[in-house]
Amino acid sequence: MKPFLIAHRLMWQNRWLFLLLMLWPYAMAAILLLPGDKPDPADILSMLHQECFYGLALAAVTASTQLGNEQRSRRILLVLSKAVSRTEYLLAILLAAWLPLLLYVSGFVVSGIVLAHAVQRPIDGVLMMAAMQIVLGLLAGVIGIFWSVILPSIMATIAASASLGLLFFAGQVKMPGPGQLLAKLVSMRFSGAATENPIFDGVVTLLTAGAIFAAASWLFHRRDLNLTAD
Amino acid sequence: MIAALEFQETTKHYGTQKALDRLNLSVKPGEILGFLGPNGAGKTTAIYLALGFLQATSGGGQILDKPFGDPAARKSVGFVPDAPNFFAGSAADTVKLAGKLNGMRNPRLRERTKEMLNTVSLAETKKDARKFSRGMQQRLGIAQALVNDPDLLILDEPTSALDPAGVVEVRELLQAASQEGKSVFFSSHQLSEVERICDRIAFLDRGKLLRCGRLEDFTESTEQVEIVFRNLRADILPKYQMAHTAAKNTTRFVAPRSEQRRIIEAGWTAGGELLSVDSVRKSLEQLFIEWSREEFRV
Repeated sequence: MKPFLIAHRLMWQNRWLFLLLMLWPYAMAAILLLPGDKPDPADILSMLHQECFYGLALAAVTASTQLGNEQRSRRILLVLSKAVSRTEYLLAILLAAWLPLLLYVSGFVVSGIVLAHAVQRPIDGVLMMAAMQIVLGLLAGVIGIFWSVILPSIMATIAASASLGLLFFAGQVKMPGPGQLLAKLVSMRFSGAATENPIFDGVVTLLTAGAIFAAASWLFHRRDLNLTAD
Repeated sequence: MIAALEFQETTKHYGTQKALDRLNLSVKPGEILGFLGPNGAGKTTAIYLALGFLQATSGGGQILDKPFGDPAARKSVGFVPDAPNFFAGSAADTVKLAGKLNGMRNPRLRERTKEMLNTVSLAETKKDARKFSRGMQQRLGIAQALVNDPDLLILDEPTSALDPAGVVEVRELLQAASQEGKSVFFSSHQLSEVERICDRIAFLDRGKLLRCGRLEDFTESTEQVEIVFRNLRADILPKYQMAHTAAKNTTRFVAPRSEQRRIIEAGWTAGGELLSVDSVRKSLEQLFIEWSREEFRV
């Protein structure tokens, strides 16, 4: 309950940015559909893959900058002086990064279905990509949080991006788990092909996210808040 | 009696800099302890350690019988930072959030929110708390700290941005809290306020606790006395004569205690009526400056 209360306040701070990002998939779909001609399915697929990338970036960037922002503004003092543990606080940051992704993915699904219908393709791939984004978004958020606990915001964002890059590389060399899920996400077809064993990779991804979150929480409990003290 | 807040050999280093050096200090239940010291003395560091924002390098302490930083203990603690910064939302939203994070529920939360906003004169304000003036933000900071009816109040410079009326409000709030048995630990540079409301003071400088005790014990000088006579018919001992008040025909002397007997006898010989003999009292401001000087370090 407390993480949701805090997350709500954190999200409200960035409400206009999130609203803009939520509308992004619709705007992209409109750009493809408006000229009147039937769009090329390859173009649509490429755009959907790009949108997946933006979704993960949204979660990673939001999560990696939030802790630094809250410490810099010292709003964190009024939260952590209450009966709120540091784990609950990190969970709030994760929710504040992941819940906007859900909104974004909802836009992705609706616009993706419209586009798939426009080119008479199945929607299985769109739904698979949405589900993978949600799972990988959780991991991206957790990675962002982990780095933000030990690094300043900008460095944390760079480190989180680099970590996702490494995961993608791991997927290219067929390492199971989040890397594979990421590799499958960017090679997904309309039919939902290239999704061999996605449940296994999804579960490993969630377990990895849980382990990284536990490590971030353990570290955060043992660290000073980054405040300029008298 | 279990202390509401207790520092036990608490030490904090920032790299090679020693911000707090083996601090031993306790706040008893129901007392108001003023935490004084020049800028950079380590007051805020001590407060942050107690609330768990920072980790002690060595030593530690207890807050409401739990280790520093324990979230369960913070449920009964109210904290006002020196420059509170709020989330977007009204004053009522801010106070409600503070109550909810401390586990409060309606209808009590609604009642306490209203009560606290009335107390700090923010009940009618609908403006975004981020756009408040510094004084309003500080008042809101106090309201959100009191909403959970805490057993221990920790305030970091709570009156630094307040106008005189606001200062009086805060003073009355703290005195009322103390009368209800709550403990108050507050740092301040407003020495007149500290003098008025604190049961004890602690003076910190460069991370070290230099003095701790009842204010009277420090303000009362053991070295000098003040002697007042009425109707003195002749000038006596002009060296020690400080003032003559013509309207009341009184003469005031300040002298070393060793001269007390000689002055009294001289006054009586000059036909004077002895009105009072008191120890000279120092102001907290004088003490603050004295203690801040190098030669007074212990």
